[in-house]
Amino acid sequence: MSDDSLLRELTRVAREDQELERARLDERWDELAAGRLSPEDEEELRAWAESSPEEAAAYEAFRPLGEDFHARVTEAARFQLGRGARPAPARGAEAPAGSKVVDARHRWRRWSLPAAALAAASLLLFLWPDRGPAPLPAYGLELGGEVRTLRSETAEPAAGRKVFVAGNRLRLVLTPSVAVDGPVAARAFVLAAGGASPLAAPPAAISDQGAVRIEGEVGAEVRLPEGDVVLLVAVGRRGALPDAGELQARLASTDQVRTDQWSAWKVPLAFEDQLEP
Amino acid sequence: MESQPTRADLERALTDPSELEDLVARLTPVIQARVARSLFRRNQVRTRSVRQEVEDLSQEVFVTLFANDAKVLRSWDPDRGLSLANFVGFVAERQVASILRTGKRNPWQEDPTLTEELDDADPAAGPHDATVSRQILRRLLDRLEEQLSPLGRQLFDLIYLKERSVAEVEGQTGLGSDAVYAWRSRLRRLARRNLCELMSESEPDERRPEERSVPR
Repeated sequence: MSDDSLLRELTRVAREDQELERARLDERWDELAAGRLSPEDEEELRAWAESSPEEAAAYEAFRPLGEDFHARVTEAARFQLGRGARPAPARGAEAPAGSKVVDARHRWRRWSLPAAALAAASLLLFLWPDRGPAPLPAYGLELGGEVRTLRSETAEPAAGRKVFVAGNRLRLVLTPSVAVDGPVAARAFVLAAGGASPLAAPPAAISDQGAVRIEGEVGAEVRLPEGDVVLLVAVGRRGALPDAGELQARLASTDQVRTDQWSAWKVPLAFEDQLEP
Repeated sequence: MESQPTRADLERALTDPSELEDLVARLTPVIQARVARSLFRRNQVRTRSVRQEVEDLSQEVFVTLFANDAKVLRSWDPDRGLSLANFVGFVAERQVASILRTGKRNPWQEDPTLTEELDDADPAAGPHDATVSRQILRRLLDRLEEQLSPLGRQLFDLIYLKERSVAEVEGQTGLGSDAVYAWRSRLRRLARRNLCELMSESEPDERRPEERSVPR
């Protein structure tokens, strides 16, 4: 099929679909949604809606969403534009058990579970607005590119310290459990006797979904002090990341910290200037 | 606000809290209607919950419009010949198409193509079949609806559905003739690329045309 034929057929199908749609749902339905129908036309559509479940569904779909909807969306938009307070809880959120009023959250979940599972911070904000910015999802950390892993001093081999030598390609990847809505940032520090200093490495690459990758050749792009090294790594909402001092304090007695707005890890590794035989 | 809002009207509504609700009230019917039509067109109506589906999807569209300091809404350019209502309507159709196909909200994050910068990569070689079923063509239209920016949709409508001349398209959109020709080529390539993908995804039975054959 040539491109001309393809576009010709595509156009034909599109026009036929449009005609079928207009025959089934003419302009009066748009007027219904806009609240501009004459009383006679509205009565006619209402009567038609009683003829079958499908027609009733059309009436329900196009019946004006109403002032409550406008007010809710407006309040959420004002907050999103930074011009208003956090919106009040969605209508129906306090409904007693057995009530037919459905919480907006449940309505959203019932419609599309995958979409709800990936619900972005902004939608959560509109429908569950009392919580402020949505919590950052859990992140996983992976460190790769090492030459070997030293056996851990504890009973758990998985906690072994990874050894890097010059020339290795160090790859530190932070992956969210679900796509993150909104910008995120990452920081990495090297913890030494004198305190924590920024890790000398290429800038973090951050995907649209919030995944972070710090990567570079050890000894050239990634500079590590020789010997045992501790990295402090954090990912979080832009503007909400802790500084080196807070990271050091929060990770003093644990290997991982997770808050609503950031997650951080303490990552032990070792750098040997040359590989021992 | 006037019946046909200008760019200045939009900016005022976005900056003046007292006008924002008017904007929302003005946009809600067109969004709701496009959402509803998209559901009916794809036979995705669940009669018992259609109103909730329409409300949820309409909310999703508003989330997209106002996200990131109303980036999508502010990308409307009245000089391109699209009214604000039609622009928002295209946004609604695109979002519904994507959500229904992928189950993922906010398609702008994955493919924030708001401008005319489409992928210009040459598509793979076309399918060997000389005919394409209506079902495949319908799915192809859905894909285009999902992928095209509002400007792309407008141009597809003008160039192919309404068969406007290049001069007419220039006059209506403010684009130069080079841009119109470029868009025509892009739309053809996008249709071709999506057809290749659909043909490779589909079952043999789906590819068989139910209606007339299309000559090579």
